[in-house]
Amino acid sequence: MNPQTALALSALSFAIAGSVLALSTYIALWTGLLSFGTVAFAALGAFTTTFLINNMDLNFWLALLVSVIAGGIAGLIVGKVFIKLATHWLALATVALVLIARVLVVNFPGFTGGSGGTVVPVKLSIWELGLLLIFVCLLLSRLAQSKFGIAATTTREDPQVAASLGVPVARVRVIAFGISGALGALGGVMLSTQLGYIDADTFFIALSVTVIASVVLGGAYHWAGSVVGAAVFTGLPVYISQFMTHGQFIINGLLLLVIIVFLPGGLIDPVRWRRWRARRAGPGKSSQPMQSSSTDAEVLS
Amino acid sequence: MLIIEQIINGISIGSIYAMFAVGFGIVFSTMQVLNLAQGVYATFGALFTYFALTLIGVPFWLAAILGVTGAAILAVIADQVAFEPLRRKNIGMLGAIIASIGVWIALEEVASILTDATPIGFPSGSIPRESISIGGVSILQTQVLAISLSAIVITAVYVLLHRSRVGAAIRAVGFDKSSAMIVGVNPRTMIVSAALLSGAVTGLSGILLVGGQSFNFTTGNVLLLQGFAAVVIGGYGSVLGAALGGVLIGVVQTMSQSFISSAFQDAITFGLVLVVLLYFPRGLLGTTETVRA
Repeated sequence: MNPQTALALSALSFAIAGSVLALSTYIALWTGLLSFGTVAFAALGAFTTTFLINNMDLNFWLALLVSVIAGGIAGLIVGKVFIKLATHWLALATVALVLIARVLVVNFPGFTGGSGGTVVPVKLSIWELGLLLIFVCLLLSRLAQSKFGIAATTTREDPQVAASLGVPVARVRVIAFGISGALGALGGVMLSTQLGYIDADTFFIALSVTVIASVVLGGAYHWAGSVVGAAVFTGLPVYISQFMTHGQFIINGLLLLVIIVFLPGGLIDPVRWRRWRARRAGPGKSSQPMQSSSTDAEVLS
Repeated sequence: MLIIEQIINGISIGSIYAMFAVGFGIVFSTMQVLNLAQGVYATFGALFTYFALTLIGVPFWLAAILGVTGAAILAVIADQVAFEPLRRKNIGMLGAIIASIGVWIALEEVASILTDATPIGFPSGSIPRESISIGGVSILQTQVLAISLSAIVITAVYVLLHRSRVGAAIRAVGFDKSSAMIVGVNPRTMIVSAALLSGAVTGLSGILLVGGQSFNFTTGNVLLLQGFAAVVIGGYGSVLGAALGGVLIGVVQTMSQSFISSAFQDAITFGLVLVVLLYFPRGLLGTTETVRA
């Protein structure tokens, strides 16, 4: 294969795996919670799958299923424990979770290969990755139409109002954490099959920063944003690495600042689009109800 | 004597965590910014000192002053570039956390390019490394320096923030900007002063942490994690709480390293953080937080 095509395909594979991880963080942000925990769930999924294949001779897809379920259960437990913290303390608690996850990975060599890491015996093709992502996106678009989706959006916009309207805020958030855990595990497995080798530092702060950056760039208002954001922050660096070895993170950091200052709703922001369309339609003609209360920054405040 | 030496080791490293935690806490209590870029300021404090020692060749104390000044200026620039626009647009706490992630990864890459991503260390002989023996217990001079400087700096910050007019003005801005303006406080000046103070304290903690050992561009992250743990355990918005939290973390870490397992020392620290977050969300010495309607 032409090296350029190979690189582009590799970039695309990483972007797909990154998208699933970003969607895992997005689900939590959907209910107004900033979570760094995705990476811990990703580590859980990737190491569980590898362990099951290597030591139990399990079929890859079966191992993946077990890992995703384990991730979901872990997510529910974490959500249940953390839910009583106010939102910014919860963000910090998930940072602590990632740190502890790394220590556990290093110290259970029988399960994870310890500090030496472990080789991932499976490599998914780009089609398999793509199908998994499409499946996740379908799930999310269904979810967005569901009762859960409406409850999640309401919770994000204003938890107190949501509670007074009868939305079980805490339960919605715990469920979001559960889904986030399952998707995080799935994304972790997908990423690990592309890396071929995983160790304690694979799933650490650097990855969680990248994932959060993807979600912020894409926007917290629509799941498609996370996919776009992941393409920019996980796919593009793989492709660009042939032109520049240094400075990628300077660009990423500045990009993140520019987004949060000038475009706090992210690239995919339905409210902004609706407003823009209304403006184009001319004053007075707009029949769309304007969500004037949901200004750009609110999800992040 | 081992146990006494270990306690002193713990207090010495803990006093550096304490200093960092106080720097972190200044920004949090006055500007409501959980600044994840704070660790990078510490890295840059050490880096500026290193460059002053190797490129200019000034004595250590002067290099340290240059390092502290550099870190303080960096903190002000980062604050004005990244957080000032957010304050103006009234974007809340999670937005500021994300902006600080941007500053963190950008500056860390700059530090990596400046050092070629290789470990560096202060030139030998530039910093006192002998150990003193007191009644059979040996202490390194750098440890004495760390403990005494931390005690002085933390006391000074406490007095400045809680016993002086400037400190009162800074806290007033943190509490309610517009009311502070009504009584004649310029919020921008106070925010810049707080950033300057926080950057200087953080930079000094970075220099002391590095001390005689080699370091690289990620050194500040250690401080960020431990300082964060200290702030959570000690309590936000409380200088003394953060300081005690730092010392506690240092002692717990050194003790668990030598008597339990060095592999699990971070798990013990952050497990402690989780327990405190869940059962004492305001920290052990934290003040209660009242929400204004």
